[in-house]
Amino acid sequence: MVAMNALGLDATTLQQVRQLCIVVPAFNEGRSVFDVVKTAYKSMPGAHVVVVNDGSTDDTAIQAYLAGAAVVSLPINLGIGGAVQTGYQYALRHGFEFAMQIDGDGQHDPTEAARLLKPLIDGTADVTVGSRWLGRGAFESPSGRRFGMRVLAVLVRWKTGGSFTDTTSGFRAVGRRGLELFTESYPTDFPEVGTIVLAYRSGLRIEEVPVQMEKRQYGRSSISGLRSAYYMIRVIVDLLIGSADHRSVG
Amino acid sequence: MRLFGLSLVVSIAFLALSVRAMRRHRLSEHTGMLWLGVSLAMVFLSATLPFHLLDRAARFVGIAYPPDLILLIAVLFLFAFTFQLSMGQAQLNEKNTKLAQEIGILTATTPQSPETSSSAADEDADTAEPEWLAEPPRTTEPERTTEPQRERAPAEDVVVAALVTATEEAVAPEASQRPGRWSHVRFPALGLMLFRRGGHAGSRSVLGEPPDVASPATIAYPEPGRRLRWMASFALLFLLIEAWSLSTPLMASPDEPAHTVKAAAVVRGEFFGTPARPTRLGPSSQITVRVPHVFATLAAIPTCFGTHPTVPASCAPTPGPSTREVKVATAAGRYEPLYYAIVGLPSLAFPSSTGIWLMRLVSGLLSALFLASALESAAACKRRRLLVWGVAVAATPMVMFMAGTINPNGLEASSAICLWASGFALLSDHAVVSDRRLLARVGISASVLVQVRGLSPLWLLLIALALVVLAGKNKIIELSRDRVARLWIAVLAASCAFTVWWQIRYDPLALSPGPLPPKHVPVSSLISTSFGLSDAFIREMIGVLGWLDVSAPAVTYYGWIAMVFMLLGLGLLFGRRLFVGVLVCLVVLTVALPIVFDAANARNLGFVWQGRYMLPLAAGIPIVAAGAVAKGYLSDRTHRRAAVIFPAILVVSELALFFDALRRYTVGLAGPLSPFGGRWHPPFGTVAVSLAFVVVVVAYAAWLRHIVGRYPLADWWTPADASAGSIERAMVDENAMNVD
Repeated sequence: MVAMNALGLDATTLQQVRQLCIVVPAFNEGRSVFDVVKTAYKSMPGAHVVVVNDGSTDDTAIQAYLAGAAVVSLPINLGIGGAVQTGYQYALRHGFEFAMQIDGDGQHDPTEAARLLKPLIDGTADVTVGSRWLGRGAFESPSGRRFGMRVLAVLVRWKTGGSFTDTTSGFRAVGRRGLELFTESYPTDFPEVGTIVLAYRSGLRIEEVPVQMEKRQYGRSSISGLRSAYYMIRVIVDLLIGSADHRSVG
Repeated sequence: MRLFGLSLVVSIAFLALSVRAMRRHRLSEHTGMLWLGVSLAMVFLSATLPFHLLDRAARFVGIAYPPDLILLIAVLFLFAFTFQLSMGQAQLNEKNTKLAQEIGILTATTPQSPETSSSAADEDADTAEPEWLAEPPRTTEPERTTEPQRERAPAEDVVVAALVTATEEAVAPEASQRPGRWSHVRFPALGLMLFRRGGHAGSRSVLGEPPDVASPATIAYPEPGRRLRWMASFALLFLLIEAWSLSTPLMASPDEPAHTVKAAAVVRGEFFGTPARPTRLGPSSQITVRVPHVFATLAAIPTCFGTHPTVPASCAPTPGPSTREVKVATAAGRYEPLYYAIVGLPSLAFPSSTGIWLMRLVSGLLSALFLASALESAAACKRRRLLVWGVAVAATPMVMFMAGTINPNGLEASSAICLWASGFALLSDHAVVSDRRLLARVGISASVLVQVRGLSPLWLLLIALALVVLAGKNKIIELSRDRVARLWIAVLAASCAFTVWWQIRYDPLALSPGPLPPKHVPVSSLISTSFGLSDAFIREMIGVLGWLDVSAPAVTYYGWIAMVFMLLGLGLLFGRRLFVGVLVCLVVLTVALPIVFDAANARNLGFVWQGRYMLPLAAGIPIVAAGAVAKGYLSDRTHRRAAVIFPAILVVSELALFFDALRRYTVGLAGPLSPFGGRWHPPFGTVAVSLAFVVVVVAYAAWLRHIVGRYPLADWWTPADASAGSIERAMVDENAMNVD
């Protein structure tokens, strides 16, 4: 019985969704986190949403709580890597099969979540990464950033041998194996690229899934201007030197 | 050679420093060994300077300038050390992250309720959705065994709610001020407490109507010994006041005859009397009343000794019993009748000197009631242990002395002390606002205070202002929602209305002028005169007894000043900015108000101000200062020291003043050093009263020590005691901290 609903979820997917923990890392996202959580509940009914409040100084925690999410409040700001890992730890401890990461700034469209989940449910992948560049929808991005992303993609291919188009995407989902790996060890500084390399080296299957992304609703990207150049350099150095023995938190 | 000595001294000093730091565990063993090695190497290098070891070593390595060798080694060492530090820092970072994550997960909150999330999904989703919506998402949830919001004990719910609320407070104070924001927290907490306390049913006791069974106050502070503790405080304070009273001859306190006459008149129904005829100085402020003849003779009693400190009190005539009513003028005639209506009662049964002693007794009883309540409020303030000392310091010998004689000043001071302490405990501490006893103490002391003397309304206003500022908006809002608090506010309003009416009608501030300064004296010299009096004002707050003829001995004066300054220093050091501001204002007002008053009224009243008038406001200085020091600022050692220093100073100061005053009345200040064997004896005899005073004052000091240390703060939050009550208080604490 494959009854598809308007969101593209069939019955088995719906059953599996109950095993899904949606992790929303949020640092001072009080303005958007409420909507993100609500949309997540809407698109993935039955999933458990946990907002990792990464030491915010605004009302992120209360907004998330009011939206009905579980809230893990970190006493200090750990950065995106530490926050996401906390979410994975939470998911693993509470016995979830899948975890999905959605940014708290509203950039990721939770209605696309089913696409990310599908390969995990089917058992064809352990980690899925939503890619902006794989066709669906045209994501406009400044050319400088596009160039940087291209460079990173080349580097990652060189390091891993696999082909990735959007290594900096924070829209991803992991299955049980991925959860266990990331709970134990997670690159804190540049998690987007680092996790791909780490997962690849640990023998996990990674799959890119085409998704649509929106312009962020509020706030600025954490990567912009001069800082993006610095970010690039650090990521590259990290990739070249650090990936041999990744700094692990676990 | 001088260089040799210098370097040797420096290296040995460094060695000593490292050893000391290691011994005190300021350095970990690992780094400690390193620095020990470094300092030993330094000592070795400087000790071997005369042997040119360094030069030889440099030559051996090929360095022309020997100090460069040291620099090289030092740079290499620092390099290695910094490198090691960075590695250590990275390790610490990782551990920190792990800790933060652990804390985050441990304190995670679950969604408000499963319905919220799913119903939110339902209402947002398109109604035309296909069949999967027919299956409510919630129904399948029990399958997940590790689902966080299931299998949760009520207590944990409370913890979770507490944490949420704490987070709310931290991130969105304005959001958390919604009415009823505690409802999701308090109800389970209180419900659990009620359950634990043996099933007093009723979850209705929280935000609305007061319960019949167990008030939140009793729940918040489950102390079985509260009433007993109050009674013991009361008994000791009453005995202390009585000892002061007995050692003071009748009518040997400022204006006691006038106040006694007023009291005798008020209980005989004459609340006001008729204004006396104008004198040659102008319209008289005195009031003529009809009282038994015995009271008319009182004014003559102190004339022979009142202002002559060398004359023993034995010269005074004894008022004989006489029931014949005569007309008598009293300077206290315009005062409000409350105090006199109570104190005067014994005079109805005993219009004699016995009756006057009994009137003093009643006066002391009244003040002891308020002082004991103040001590009890302070003792209940467990987060501010110094507060008991603050109250003890505020209750100066002057307060006790005035309380033990017929003069409303004692009641004014003690009710103000009670208002300060109870108001502070109610508003500034982390007590629940609905503590019925604190509310009652604040309500009664404020309502009484306002009616006692002419300036009392001003003091009430200033005290209330200070307390409101200290409490902050939230506490006041919380208070205004409390039904019992509203009741007390109504009582206070009625009392104030009466006072306003009385003051407008009878003008108790109309004073009889004293000796006036010469007409041609310039204003500047009026100001400088009153400025010069301010030291006397401070003395008069601590202890200038009799008709201002027994000045406190230096040990009493400086001892008491030292206690005030110790508390003030602690308050200014450790208090929050708000407390410091209030304290500074209080100090400035206490010093400046008398000067301003005296200088402003010198031309038509003379310099009439006395320090004791200031007591109601000045009492706030030690109390607020002591209260400003919250739990955790002072070490237990400091608290132990305070528990030795304060009682010691208190006992010595009181004893010194007591025997000085007693000696002045028994033998006169020009007489022998011993107060015993003089011509005047207090009732029950000099020896008995002295002994009683010594015993009572020592017992009082010991009792203060006892109630300060009776509930050590360490017991306040123990894991075993982590009941819902503690949790709720912890939340209130959190709340208060964030409001700061």
